[in-house]
Amino acid sequence: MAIDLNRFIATFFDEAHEHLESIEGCAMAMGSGKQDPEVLNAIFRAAHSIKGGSGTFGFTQLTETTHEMETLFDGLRKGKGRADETTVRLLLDACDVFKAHLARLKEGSRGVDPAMDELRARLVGYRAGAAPPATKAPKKEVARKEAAKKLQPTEEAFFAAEEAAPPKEAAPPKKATGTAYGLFEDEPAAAAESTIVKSAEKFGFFEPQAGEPNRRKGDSSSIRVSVEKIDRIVNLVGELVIAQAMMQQSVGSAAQQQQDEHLTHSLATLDRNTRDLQQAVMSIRMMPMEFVFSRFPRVVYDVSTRLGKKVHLRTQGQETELDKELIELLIDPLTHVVRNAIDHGIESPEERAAAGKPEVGTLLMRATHRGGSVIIEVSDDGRGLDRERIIAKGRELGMGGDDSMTDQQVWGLIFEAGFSTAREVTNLSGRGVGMDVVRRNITSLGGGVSVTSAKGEGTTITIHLPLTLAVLDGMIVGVGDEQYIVPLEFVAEAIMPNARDIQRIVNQASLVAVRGEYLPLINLAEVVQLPRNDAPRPEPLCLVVEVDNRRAALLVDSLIGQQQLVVKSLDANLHSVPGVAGATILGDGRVALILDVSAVTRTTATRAPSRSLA
Amino acid sequence: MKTILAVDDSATMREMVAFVLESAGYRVIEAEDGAQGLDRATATSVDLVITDQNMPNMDGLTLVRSLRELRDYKSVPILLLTTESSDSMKAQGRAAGATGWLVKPFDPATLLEVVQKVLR
Repeated sequence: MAIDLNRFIATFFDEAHEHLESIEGCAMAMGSGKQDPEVLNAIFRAAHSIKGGSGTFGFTQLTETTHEMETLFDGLRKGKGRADETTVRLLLDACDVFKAHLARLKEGSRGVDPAMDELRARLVGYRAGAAPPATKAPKKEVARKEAAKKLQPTEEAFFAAEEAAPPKEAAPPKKATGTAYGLFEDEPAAAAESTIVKSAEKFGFFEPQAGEPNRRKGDSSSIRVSVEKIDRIVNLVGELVIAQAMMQQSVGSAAQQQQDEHLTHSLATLDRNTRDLQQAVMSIRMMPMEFVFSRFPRVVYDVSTRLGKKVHLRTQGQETELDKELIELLIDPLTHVVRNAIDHGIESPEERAAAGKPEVGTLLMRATHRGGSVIIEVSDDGRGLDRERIIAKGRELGMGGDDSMTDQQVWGLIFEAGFSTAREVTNLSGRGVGMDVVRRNITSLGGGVSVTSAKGEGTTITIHLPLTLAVLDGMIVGVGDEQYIVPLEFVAEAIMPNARDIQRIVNQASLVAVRGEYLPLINLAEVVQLPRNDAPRPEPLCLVVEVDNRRAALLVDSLIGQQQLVVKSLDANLHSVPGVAGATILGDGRVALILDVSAVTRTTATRAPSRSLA
Repeated sequence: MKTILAVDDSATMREMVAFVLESAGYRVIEAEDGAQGLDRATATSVDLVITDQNMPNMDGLTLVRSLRELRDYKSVPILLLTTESSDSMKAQGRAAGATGWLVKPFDPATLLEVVQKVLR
């Protein structure tokens, strides 16, 4: 029978990754001194499982190398030798090599991967009791021969002969058949069926339901579905929501005017069901934060051992759910924050001891839901931010900075581009990626970052994000004949200032006084370069927005209303436009652009001339 | 239709066994480890059990022994799916009460051949 192996290959890759994660987790547990036989067992089993699957697909190098790992841990779990720090390092390195190799295989590359040869030699060398060679592979040939000797079953591609051997009773015995299976007795029990049926009567609750599959035990509590399929449903439901809004707008008011109760009621039901459907579909895309957090024991281990620091990682709220897309985009910024916390926040064991703190620093990652947002906090119990140094550095870099600033304003400086107080550039944190990139990444996802810190006690970085990028609560504003969307999350209030509250300063942004506070006034018509309306409005209308700890007032012509909107990506369809976060289709069928409030306000906050959007 | 219980902690393996056997007209139920396999086997009537050896919670040999203690499974054929075919494995399998063994990775024709043989 012909089998398309690709049918199973995706499952294998997923599974192999899960096993590697589990090996990493075990390695970390060992690193913290856990010499549990169950840990060694789990590593053995994971390596064994990868080996088993890889042979099926003819991934010979993977089979051979996981075989070495399996053998090594089989020995360790049986008490031959002891796992120590070098074992942990070997395991972690092995996971890296395996992951890179899997990525190659995924891309379809079937050539020899030298890194895998090296790793196998290292595993063999390690097992032989020698110190693991870090880079060279002196025992390559030995390893190759040894592996070849042990692994006869994988030498052949197993599905090669599939066409030649139809599943008939009289199938000609193939060469391999003699060793591929065996029966302990020639005649297996023949009376099996009748026995089952008869004796089953004595156990009522186990009684087989004739002809009907027994599903009581929950045969499938979950299924694997490709992300593409889910995204397609999400998109279709998005279109449905738009169509529903259009219908509501065109038919709804007519129905109310004509007092058509039946139609009004039907529309309301449709509205409710559409919302419920949308929520249900969105929930499919939700993934627990565990997917993010589970990466960090490894990051913390690597960074802290390299810096000679002792760090204990605690996580809370792993079950907190977040849109899959956001989860993936969150990993990089969060990794940076964690590295920073260990590099700059947590002190060396000596320094900590001198300050009367426990030698082992604590890093806490916590996720919680608050309203429509997810809050992710990274707290360390390190030395805290150094106010004086940040102010001095800010002044030196011309970012402003004086002693009268509030703590919040001072902490805000660390998010400015080019700011880094590290005395020397380490290869971990100081790679030209600063907290400014973290903030930019997070705000581009519609969220924000803030800091609290106390000297000597530690620092907490708080990231908040919307639950999903697919829908958004927005304020629809009118500018000229156009309509724009301001994400509701950033809207603080709407005001109608008196003319005397508006200060125009030559060559500078205008300012508007809001209850004694002067905010930069951004004329949205100018920003989007709409042709000027002849006369300025008699009563200016401002939307006060707050983003990245910055407040500004957007001058608009009208407020049209607020609505839940389905976000359409602009760069997926056209190309990315600065100042525009996306687009949406309004109830009347018009397309409206969603403003990137952070970008729009930044242009004036830095006193640069207004940037155009078009 | 004969029902076959496939026990393996690897989803890849389960899917492949299920695909081959379902294509040949068998009904396949799956379990992720020995403990779950035992649950499934007691909850429904099974004509053949194919089990992996190395699994968390309960390994294949323990599953075979536990099944053989059940009245309903005294004589139901049980195949051990294993990556090695050493003599000690065979001795252990026989002692536990397994009907036979099949080397992994397997070829679909071989799997069907041995399944048809024990179910005849």
